Amino acid sequence: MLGFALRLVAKTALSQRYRFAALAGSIALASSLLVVLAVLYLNASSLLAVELSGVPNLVVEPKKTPAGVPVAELSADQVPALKAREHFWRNNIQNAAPVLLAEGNAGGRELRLAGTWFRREVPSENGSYPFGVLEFRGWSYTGEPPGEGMVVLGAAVGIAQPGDAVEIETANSTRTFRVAGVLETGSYWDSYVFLSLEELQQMLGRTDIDLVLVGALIKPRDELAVRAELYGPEALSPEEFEAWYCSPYASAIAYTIAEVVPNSSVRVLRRVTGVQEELLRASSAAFLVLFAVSALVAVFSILSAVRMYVSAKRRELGIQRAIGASEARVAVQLGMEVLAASLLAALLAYPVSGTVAEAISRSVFGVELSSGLELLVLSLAMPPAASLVALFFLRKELSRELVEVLR
Amino acid sequence: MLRRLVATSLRHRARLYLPMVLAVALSLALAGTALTVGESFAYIVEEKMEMYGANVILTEVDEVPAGGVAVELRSAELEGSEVVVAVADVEALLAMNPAWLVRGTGDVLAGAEVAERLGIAPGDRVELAGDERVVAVLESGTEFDSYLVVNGTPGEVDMVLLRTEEPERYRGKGVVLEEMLRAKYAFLEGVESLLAQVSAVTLVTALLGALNLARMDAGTRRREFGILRAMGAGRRTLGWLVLSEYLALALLTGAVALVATLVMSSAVLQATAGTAPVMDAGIPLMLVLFSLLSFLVVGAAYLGELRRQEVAEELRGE
Repeated sequence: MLGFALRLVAKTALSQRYRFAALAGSIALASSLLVVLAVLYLNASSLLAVELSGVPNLVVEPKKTPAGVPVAELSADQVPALKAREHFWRNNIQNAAPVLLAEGNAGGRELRLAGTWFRREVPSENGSYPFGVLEFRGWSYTGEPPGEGMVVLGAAVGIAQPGDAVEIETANSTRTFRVAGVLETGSYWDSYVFLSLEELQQMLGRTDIDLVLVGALIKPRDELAVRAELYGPEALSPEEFEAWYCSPYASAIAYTIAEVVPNSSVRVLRRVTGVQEELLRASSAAFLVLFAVSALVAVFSILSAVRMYVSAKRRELGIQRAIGASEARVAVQLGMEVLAASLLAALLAYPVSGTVAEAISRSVFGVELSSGLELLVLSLAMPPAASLVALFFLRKELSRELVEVLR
Repeated sequence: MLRRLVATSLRHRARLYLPMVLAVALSLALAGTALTVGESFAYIVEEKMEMYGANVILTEVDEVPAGGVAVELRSAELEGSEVVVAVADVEALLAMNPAWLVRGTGDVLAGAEVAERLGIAPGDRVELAGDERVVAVLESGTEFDSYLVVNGTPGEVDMVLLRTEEPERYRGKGVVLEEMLRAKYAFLEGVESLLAQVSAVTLVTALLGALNLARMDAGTRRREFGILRAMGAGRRTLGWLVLSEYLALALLTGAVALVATLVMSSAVLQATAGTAPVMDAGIPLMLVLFSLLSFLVVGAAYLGELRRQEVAEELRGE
């Protein structure tokens, strides 16, 4: 019985190859579209989150005594801990820059100075990672790469032009620097003059830092995160605490940073995280609903293709019924034909959807998609699943049509 | 005559054509929805930027601009330590900065840094200027975390917080905060570009889908066309019949796609942002044109198929 049905399917595929190919092509097209959209939408939120994380959203500061004195010094050597294995959310840390604040003047004009890393390779598990103020992608730097004896001016400082020499005086010493460029941050940092951290430490005779600016990939807050923020993580049950700790909420990342940087207090820059969370929430929801709509459209397209295929074969199927084939047998044969077409479609959908999704990802986000397994599973599962759904919806209509043909 | 033939043919083949029209129309609508959602996202992003709160902090204040929240900074002693007290209309301050978090309820807001330093928890009572006050804790992620914020009318105005659509007007009089601007544009560009490309892929899929569906239909009308030929209809008449049918289908598909785009984009935007879609005038035009193009290509392919059919064989019943 099975052998006979398989032979019939094979014969149909060969003798009506154009129609069979058209069915397989239609299923492949609809499935590929759905797979492309699924893979893109699954990855889009995290890729868009990277676009939004180009500015600092957390600030690490030393814990202070009631008199306002740091409990312990914060050091630039602690910054690599953010990317170290011990830090649970190390992969979500996009950038960090230690900052030492000071006051100085140039030509009688008071200046705010910030000693920092411009660009520094920080070791991580997977090699090294570039950290520094010029690595915040939401900030815009114009000028030459700053080196030793160079400063970068915040956009609102305006004391000199790139290439000019500036004599900067602090309480302890005076040094002449060359202006490498201008950094536009759109924040308070626009009124700072940025120096190399080591050079400012030398000028001030200090070895510590005042704060670390951190840019982290975060997840929008939900009810659990809001509760953790309002009442503190200690108010959560152990299960809730684990769920909160293992989700990249800004507050959870701040908590884990405080674990790897002892005696620190981590401030969440709420104006920034608020916008990031809202935009991510809106885009994720839009992608989810768009995906649901796409799934409906894809299933409907496959349904139409199967419907057309069945209609075109009415006479042939009617003859089979007339010479004694049961309705179930005709349905099984038709199901096998559609399944065979959908398996062929699955083989087509995998390379097609992979190529299209990859091309869109490169063009929009400039990165390769890391979703090989998702793509494979979706490509192979989607065509047969959608075809079976289509056949399920068409079963009554098929039976009615065969009766009409037999009349 | 032709009109009657087309109308009759469409009526008789409605059960076959309806899924085809819907499949192509829904694919076109998906493309239209992706484009509309992409274009409407600019408005959603602007709305969400409200979370950023004050975007101008005026430090040189001649007059408090409309909508601005004036703040006076004073020094005071709290729990034996020196703190900076910010006097302002607290309700207006919190309304302007929706991302700020207030833990607990109280008469005064202790900034998170002050609270941590002095060991104050939400609900604690503290003595401030001889009065006992209940404290709530403010986590703003701004300088206000190092202040004690007290509700009141400022005597001297040290700064004004302002949320404005024209921050440029205030450049030079304080700090203009726009650090999310670049990220916002990068994000928006990403969303729009993604949805535009998705839309392009969907359009191509719709066209190929229509072609495939027509390919499956080809050959099923050989008897009908054979009879028409036998009754004297020429190839040109048959061509016009097919093209007219496909033109009617194209117009119907375009109209369905347009309505479906409006419904689907409204559903997506209402569900995600509670906003109505903002549809560019080019999108309906694009849907109708693409529908016409799809069905003309399909009709042309169908005609090609007709030419290959051997009518005499059909009439002989072979």
